[in-house]
Amino acid sequence: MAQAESALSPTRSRTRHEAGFFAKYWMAYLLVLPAIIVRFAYTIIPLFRTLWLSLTNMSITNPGEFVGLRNYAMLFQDELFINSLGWTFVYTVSATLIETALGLAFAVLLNQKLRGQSTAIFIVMLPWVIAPMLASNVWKLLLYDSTGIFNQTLTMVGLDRIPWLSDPFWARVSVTLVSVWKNVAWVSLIFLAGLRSLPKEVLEAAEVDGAGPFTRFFRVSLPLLQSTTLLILLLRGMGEIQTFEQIYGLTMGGPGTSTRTLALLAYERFFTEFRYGYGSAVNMWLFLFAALVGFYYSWKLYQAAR
Amino acid sequence: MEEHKRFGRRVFLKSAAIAGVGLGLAACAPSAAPSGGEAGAPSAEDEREITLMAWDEEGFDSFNAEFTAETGIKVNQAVFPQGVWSDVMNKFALWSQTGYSGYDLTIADDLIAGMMASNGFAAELGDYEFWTDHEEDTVEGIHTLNSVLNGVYRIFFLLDLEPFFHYTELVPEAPKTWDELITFGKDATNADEDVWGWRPTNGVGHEFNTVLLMLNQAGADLDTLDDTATLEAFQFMQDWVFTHEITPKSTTSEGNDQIANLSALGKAGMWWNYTGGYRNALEHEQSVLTMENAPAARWPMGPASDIGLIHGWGWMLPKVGEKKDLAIEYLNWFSRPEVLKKFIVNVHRDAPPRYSLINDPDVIEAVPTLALPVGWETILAGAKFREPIVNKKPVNELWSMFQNIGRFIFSAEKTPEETQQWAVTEYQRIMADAG
Repeated sequence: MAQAESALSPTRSRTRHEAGFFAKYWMAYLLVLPAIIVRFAYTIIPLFRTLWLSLTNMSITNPGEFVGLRNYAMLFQDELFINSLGWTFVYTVSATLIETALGLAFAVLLNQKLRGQSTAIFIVMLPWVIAPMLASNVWKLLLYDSTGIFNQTLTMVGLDRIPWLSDPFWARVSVTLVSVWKNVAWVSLIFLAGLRSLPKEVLEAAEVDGAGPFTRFFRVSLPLLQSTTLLILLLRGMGEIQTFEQIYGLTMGGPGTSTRTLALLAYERFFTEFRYGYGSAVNMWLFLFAALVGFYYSWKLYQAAR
Repeated sequence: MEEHKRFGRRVFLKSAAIAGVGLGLAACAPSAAPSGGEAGAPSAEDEREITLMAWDEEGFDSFNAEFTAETGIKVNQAVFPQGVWSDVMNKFALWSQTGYSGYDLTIADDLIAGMMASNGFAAELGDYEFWTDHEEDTVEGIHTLNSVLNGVYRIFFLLDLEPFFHYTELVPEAPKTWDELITFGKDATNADEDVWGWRPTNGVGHEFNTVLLMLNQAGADLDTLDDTATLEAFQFMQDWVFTHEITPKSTTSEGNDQIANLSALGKAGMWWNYTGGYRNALEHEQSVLTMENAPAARWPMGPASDIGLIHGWGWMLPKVGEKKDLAIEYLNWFSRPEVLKKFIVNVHRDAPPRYSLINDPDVIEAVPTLALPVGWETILAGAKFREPIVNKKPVNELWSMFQNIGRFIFSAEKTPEETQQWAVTEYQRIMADAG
């Protein structure tokens, strides 16, 4: 009878099933509730608040009125926004790719069973633990045109000085390199963990089949590291889009506006100029791009897992 | 399985309970904040206490102790926020907008005070004795600032200038005109590989000063920037770097500290810096500079004028302050000539805002830059505060706009014409948004 009733009334059955589910797992839900509340308070509400602000003209001089999508429309007439958008894209792609490639190379080297391996890992990790603002200030001292150690060295060996921070091209190169220096440690660590968890049998089988070190790496190890690589691209891509401290400390977005990323522009509009509405619109774009990168690589990860 | 047992539900709940107890204890612990803060109703003793927001300077505590001894009012000093300038402004804006009343008086420069006064966050102080008694003795620039702000929003205790300096080994005579600046700059630049004839302070957020200096000297229309004088100033600045090459491209990253170091090492023929930066350059351990071989001068005469910029620091009373009477008592005490003099001589060695003190021998001894041969009053004459930034409601947007002008010019990201076109449009947009 109960079976017949269940067959006739699927909704009721599902409700019962759900009730049973919650009765069984209420403790688990209760335990994660604080985390959900915190996440809601510090992520979801601010996100919707930012979205709302982006639809107003609120600033320090203006209490704010609803202006619809005016801020978003204005963004595409703001050449500083368009420049920042372009540079953010170039910077994100280049820094992420260089970090990933170099990080993989370092991980392969660190994975070799050689004496001093632990020390080498420690040294490679050092940049990662230095505070970004401190790191950028130290780099600034190294890169100063007149008194920086790099240019002093170049002069000593008879070469011309390089305008590391005062020429738009070189400033972009410097900013990217400092970012790579800072983040490659983390990438190496993740790749190292990935390399160490590769199934030994597969690598040994390839070796028995006569595959050389390069073939083993490119044909066996690298494909097996696909998920790790996608995870790194996901996290570093999202991280680089939002990079702030390193660039702010090193060039403050200059010279001119050549190294001003969207994050710097958002900060400038919101916190320096107190254009809360407009700054929020820039922030929403920043969020959108980070989310797009996140969704893309998450989807690729999901596909790889399948 | 063993792993699972090691961190099972029981262990988790125990850990959570311990963490909860810890948090509870932390929440119940006595507050380390000064009494009279947010942690409860003020006691009678708290009511005779004020909190000042000021630099953490040696000697300030003992200086304030004299006020306490005289009046019985205890002074708490909160440390003035330091760091990147936009962060400092940001803190004041947020405190003001959220009605934060954790401080009763604060030091403020013309940018902070401009933002606070224009947007209704600062109290007007023009009717109090600490102003009216010393009004006539106060230097000219402060009156100009007060008149454009339509009120007295700050009681100055020191002045800082942006004077023009030159190193006589490289530039024997100060240039008297813009043309001479170029000629002398070229001579100095050619003297040594590492030397640049003209190093204005531009990096780390100082571009706006250089831009305002040149606009003033060119006679630009600061209400529109839509005139030939503005274009002339922009062209002149860009030519330093890209035509005459008397200024390095690195000027975009050379802030006041960097200029102080470079000038101290004899790497600059001419430069501008704050008086504090000049003092640092003189005191640099490898400095080649002395007050004799690195004198200050009037700015070279531009098409319209040779005036410099002036700014300074003073006390500002936030409108939301809850202890206005005590704060006013402090200002009355602080403004007494002998007290202000003691502050300058013993605490903060910088130029005073009153004519009577500028010429006081004790003050001159404590503030050697006042004894620069050209004479402080000569440098001061006609100097303007950083208008139109500091006297309009959207102070921060204007500051940012003038910063961007400097960035475009000194990086050649835009030509002077493009920069002017951008500035005119941006200026109109800012003022329209501000209503």
